[in-house]
Amino acid sequence: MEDKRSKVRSIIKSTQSLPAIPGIIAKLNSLSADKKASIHDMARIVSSDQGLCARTLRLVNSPSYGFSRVSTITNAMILLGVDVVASLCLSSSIFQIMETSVLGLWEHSLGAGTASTIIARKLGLSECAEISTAALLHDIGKIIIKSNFEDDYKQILAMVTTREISFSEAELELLGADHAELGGWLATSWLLPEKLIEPIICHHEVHKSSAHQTKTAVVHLADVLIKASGFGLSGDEYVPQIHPMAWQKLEMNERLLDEIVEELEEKLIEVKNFSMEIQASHGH
Amino acid sequence: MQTIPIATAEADMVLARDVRSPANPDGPPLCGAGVVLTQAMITRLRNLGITTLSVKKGSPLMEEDTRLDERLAALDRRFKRVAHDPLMLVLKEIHRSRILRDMGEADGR
Amino acid sequence: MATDLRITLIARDPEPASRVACHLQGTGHKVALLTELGNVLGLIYADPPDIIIADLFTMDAGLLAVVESVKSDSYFSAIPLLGLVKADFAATYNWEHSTLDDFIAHPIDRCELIARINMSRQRIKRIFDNNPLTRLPGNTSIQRAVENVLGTPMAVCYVDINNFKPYNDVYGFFRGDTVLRMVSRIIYNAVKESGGGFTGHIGGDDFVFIVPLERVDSVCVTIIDNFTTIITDLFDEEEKLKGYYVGKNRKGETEEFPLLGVCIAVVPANYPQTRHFGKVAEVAAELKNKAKESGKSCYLIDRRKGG
Repeated sequence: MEDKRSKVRSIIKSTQSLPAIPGIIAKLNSLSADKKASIHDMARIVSSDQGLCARTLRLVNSPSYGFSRVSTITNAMILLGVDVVASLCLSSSIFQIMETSVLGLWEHSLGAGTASTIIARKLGLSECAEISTAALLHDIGKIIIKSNFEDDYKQILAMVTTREISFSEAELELLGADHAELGGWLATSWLLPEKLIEPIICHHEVHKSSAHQTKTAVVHLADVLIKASGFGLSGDEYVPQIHPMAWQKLEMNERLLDEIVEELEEKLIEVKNFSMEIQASHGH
Repeated sequence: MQTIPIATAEADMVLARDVRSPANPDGPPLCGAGVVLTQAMITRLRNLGITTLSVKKGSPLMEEDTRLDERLAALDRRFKRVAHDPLMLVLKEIHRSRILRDMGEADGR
Repeated sequence: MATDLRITLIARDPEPASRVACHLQGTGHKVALLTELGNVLGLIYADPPDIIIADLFTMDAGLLAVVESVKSDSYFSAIPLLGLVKADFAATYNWEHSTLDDFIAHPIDRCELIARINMSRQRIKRIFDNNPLTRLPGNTSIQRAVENVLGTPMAVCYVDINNFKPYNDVYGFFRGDTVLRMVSRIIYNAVKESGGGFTGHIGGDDFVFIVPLERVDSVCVTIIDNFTTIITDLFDEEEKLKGYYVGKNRKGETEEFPLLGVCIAVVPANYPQTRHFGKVAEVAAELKNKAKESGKSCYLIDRRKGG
């Protein structure tokens, strides 16, 4: 198993980019060509795809630019410029466009990003944009498995269905590591800021977070709420337990939970609309 | 009444609530409650940035809703692994109430 | 393509070199063919040419030494140096210590030679003057750019970072350098995305940009807004709430320093009094002092049209 873990880890370290949803690329293409498109429009599209988002953050935090700790697409666009980001996103996906079969995974991450923004605002937390980025990226480990270990991915899905275990449990059994750890390896090798890495690694095991407990707690809760809502697909349908440490750290109570779910359900209709538009861009 | 993504709106659906412009939320509505939608209206609203619409249930041509029992069964399955936990049951109940509220209006207008 | 360049061609053996010289003269350039190595350096220093071409066909050691001497002096290193070489040159040459800007292999294609000469000139113009930290054009290019717009409805804007020196002292040069790189990109992108203009780095925390007057307000606002957004990453929650950070000043005493801000002095280039580059810089300095009085990020446009 150690062999498998090492093999997986070394493949991840040499990963240069992640695939993106076809509709997102199509949408980005049409924005680039549209002179009236604003920076906000472009930032919105890039920040809705975890592959593009991670790739962009990777570039801006790389030694060739000399910046570090850049954790949001808005800031990346301010520093890199719109042209650089657009070219990067359009070029890095030429060979690696995700099949639409992972649309569900994309929706899940998008939903988690939305949920985390609602939670962070409701609780009056700071760094909402950074938390939202972390939530968007929390499951990049799953995309890595899908694009680099296709057969294993299929097997994991089969194990989930037949044995009724969670995705993480199946991953651990088959690969010796789960998507949280894998995502952490990628984010680390891409020099993403610590405030994004920790929530990715600890979103299921909140007790392991240290310097960024609040952010991790929000991402964890967002993941739970999206699963509870049934929005998108994340490999298994099981709602995870809300970690007591997250609940306490965020000073949550049942009334807040109710209000957050209410707001989230409303917002998810808009997100669904966005998802359908993106799919339509690809000419379905 | 049901709120739907505008991408799923179809002609002959009936608006349950006024549609207001996001740029001018206190101004006159773009489209009033009770109006029967046409394809042209839907396109116009979409171009104005509207992303969701509240339409009356039982409007003609709306897709058959997933049945109540199906939705509740799916909810049960999702929460299967945490069914023993009091907090998770609270969360489940929040969703269950929503589903019932949603589906409950199918019986009347 | 430029004509009338002054080209110095250095060769041990006049024969093949003179054919090249003839061709270049045929296209309108003035060529001096030097074969006495002892004289070369002196002649070049006395009257620096626009281009130096060295016939390295035989890789003559003496000639190579001359070439290296010229290039090692930074004053002359901006003169493009091309080598005429043998076909296998590329594989055998030690590129790590190369002083050449370009080379062209025998048999010499005359069109290619002209093209490479022009290309080297452009390249040197472009990079020679760049600030090593931010890679933005430096003072020579800045002066040229400002002089080009004098008398036109353009705005010459000088940017500097408020309270930068204490920040550098407290947080160190690496963080300070990061801030400078960030500011340079913020200005560059704001100018570019507004429709284009010029951005330069004078040095330290001083920058210049030039945009049409009609766009200058929105560009300044964009720069200030973006700077404010980005620096939220540089300070922690407490510091942001208080509006200052604590560190030791140069005397070793603890002091409260205001958070970083950026201040922009805008000098319209079409006022009658701004007819000289030096005057523009002077007006900018006055405006900057005024702008810094508020202690916050801001921009100030010179409205005094009189002399």
